[in-house]
Amino acid sequence: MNGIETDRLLRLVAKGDNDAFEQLYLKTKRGVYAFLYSYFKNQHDTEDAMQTVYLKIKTHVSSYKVGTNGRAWIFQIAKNHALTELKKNSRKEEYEDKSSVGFTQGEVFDAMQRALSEEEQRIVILHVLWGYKHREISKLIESPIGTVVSKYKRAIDKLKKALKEDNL
Amino acid sequence: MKKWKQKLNSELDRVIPDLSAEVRFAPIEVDEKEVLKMEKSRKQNFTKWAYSLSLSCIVIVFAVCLSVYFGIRNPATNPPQVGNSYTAIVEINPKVMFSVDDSGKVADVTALNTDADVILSSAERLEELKGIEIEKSVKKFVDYCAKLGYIDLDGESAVKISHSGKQDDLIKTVNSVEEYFREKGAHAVVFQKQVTVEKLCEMVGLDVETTANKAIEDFTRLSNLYTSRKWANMTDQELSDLYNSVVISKALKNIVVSKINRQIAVKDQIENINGINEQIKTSENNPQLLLKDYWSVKSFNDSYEDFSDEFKWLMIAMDTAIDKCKNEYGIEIKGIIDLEALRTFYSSIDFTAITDALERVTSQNFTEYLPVMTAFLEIVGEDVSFVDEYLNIPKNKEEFSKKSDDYLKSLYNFKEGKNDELYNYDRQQITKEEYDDYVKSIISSYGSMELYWLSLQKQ
Repeated sequence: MNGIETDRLLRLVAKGDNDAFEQLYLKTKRGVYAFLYSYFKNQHDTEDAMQTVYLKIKTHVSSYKVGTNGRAWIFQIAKNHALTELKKNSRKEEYEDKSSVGFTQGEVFDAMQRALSEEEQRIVILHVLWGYKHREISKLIESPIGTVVSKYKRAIDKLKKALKEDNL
Repeated sequence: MKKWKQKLNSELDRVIPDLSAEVRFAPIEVDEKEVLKMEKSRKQNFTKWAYSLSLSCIVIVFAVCLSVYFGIRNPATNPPQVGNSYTAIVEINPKVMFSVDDSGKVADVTALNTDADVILSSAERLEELKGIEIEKSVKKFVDYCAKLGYIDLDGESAVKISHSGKQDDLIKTVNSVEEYFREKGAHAVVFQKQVTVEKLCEMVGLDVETTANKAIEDFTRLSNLYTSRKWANMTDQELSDLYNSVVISKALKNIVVSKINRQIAVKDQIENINGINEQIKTSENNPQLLLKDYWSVKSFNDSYEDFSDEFKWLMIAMDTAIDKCKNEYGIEIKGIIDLEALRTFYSSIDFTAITDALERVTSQNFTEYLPVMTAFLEIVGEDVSFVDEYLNIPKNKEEFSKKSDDYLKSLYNFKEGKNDELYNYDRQQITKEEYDDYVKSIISSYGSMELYWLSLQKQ
């Protein structure tokens, strides 16, 4: 996810370019999905959240200040939505089993869920899928850069070990 | 990209659904006043982007063949005595060797790869690095690397210093570079290693047995540029053959093909604009029967107030397409007459033959297709005088040297211009405590600075 490209596409979306919106979705969907999944931990809620997040991008794009930080703006929308939904859901009784037990998203993705803590998952997702540098991640998650570097390295080692155990 | 990252990407592509119809067809909430404001500021910035984009099509192509060229430099005229002299090799991606004389000043700087040639391509810059203490010289060199984008001031970079001199001087040099990174707000580390003179000889390709005792003298006798040392023993014919296979068959081919592809993109964009204009003309939401095309509608109501959503989006799509044509291709379409003239022009040109040529051309058969491609470019109005300049094969080492110098200098200017905004970006300085914590975290995560350096090389 390239920051400059994201800003360019948001600029076009803000002018009403629907093609640019579709392109924006293609370029950002992996990062947004993985990030939301780290909160919801199931495919059903994550997919719902994805649609809502992108609808919000469309309806709120005029509030995005062009030339600032498109990735961070999308990140904030996704994070705020995830936290709001989780708060709402924690007050409801869940009768429906939305877990993804028995369903695999893929070897690497599943290994990430198994082997990494929530914070480690998010650091890996932000670095690998969103393209954030460690110093940027440290600002996003409000953690010292040294901590981010160590946690990322530890997360990668754990992930590689988990994948090796799965013979990948 | 590492395998597991690639696999993760394809897993996500498989699992993530498409946008729902509700989201796909939901209207975009456009603030027209903001759109107009954006247009003004974007136009100011776009010229810079367009300039750097067009430059990259030309100059970056030359970068692949820099190593071909042969340059001759005069050897150092005052080699220092061996005594307290020593040598330090600094590696970032540009890799250079600093030869330090008895007085502790830098006697000479030698490029050890082609990226270093770019920095040392100017006699002025080379002189600025000489005659001063090594810690100041290395700091200046690191700054040049940052200016050209070899050091990512926002990412994770490292500088390796291999040193055969006194420990005190090494510490001063390391401290000087670390201070530079803190001032710049860059999380970059310095990895230092004491090495023997024999090891340094090996790194620069000098024979250890014959030069170990007078190594500094020999180091300063080396030609400053890597390329000139690499091709020193080639004959004029060998250099001509190499020029043919690299410059003509690769560099010139890339430029010609990119110019042709650009023309095809322009033709497609003109048709795209025509298509949107036709939709505007035939839309049942077109405000008045008398207002037929995009320009008529725009002159009637350029803020698109009271238009239906669908019609507004069509007008905005047309705005975008026309802007793209102007900003990316330099073609301004002010009205239907301009559009029709362009359509007539491009429809009169046979694109089938040139598209066929593009599919068949390779580096090996490029010269067979060059006349067809050049003729096409001339028909569409492109300046093809550069082709003759390329086909003017240098006949001897002096001519190669001149071309090499010119390309290295133009590459320096291109990289400097491209990286200007990032280099001058106002980053917050890092305190010594924060920097030291960062360095400790690297060492605790990777085991040692050397392992960290090696991990960066693998990326």
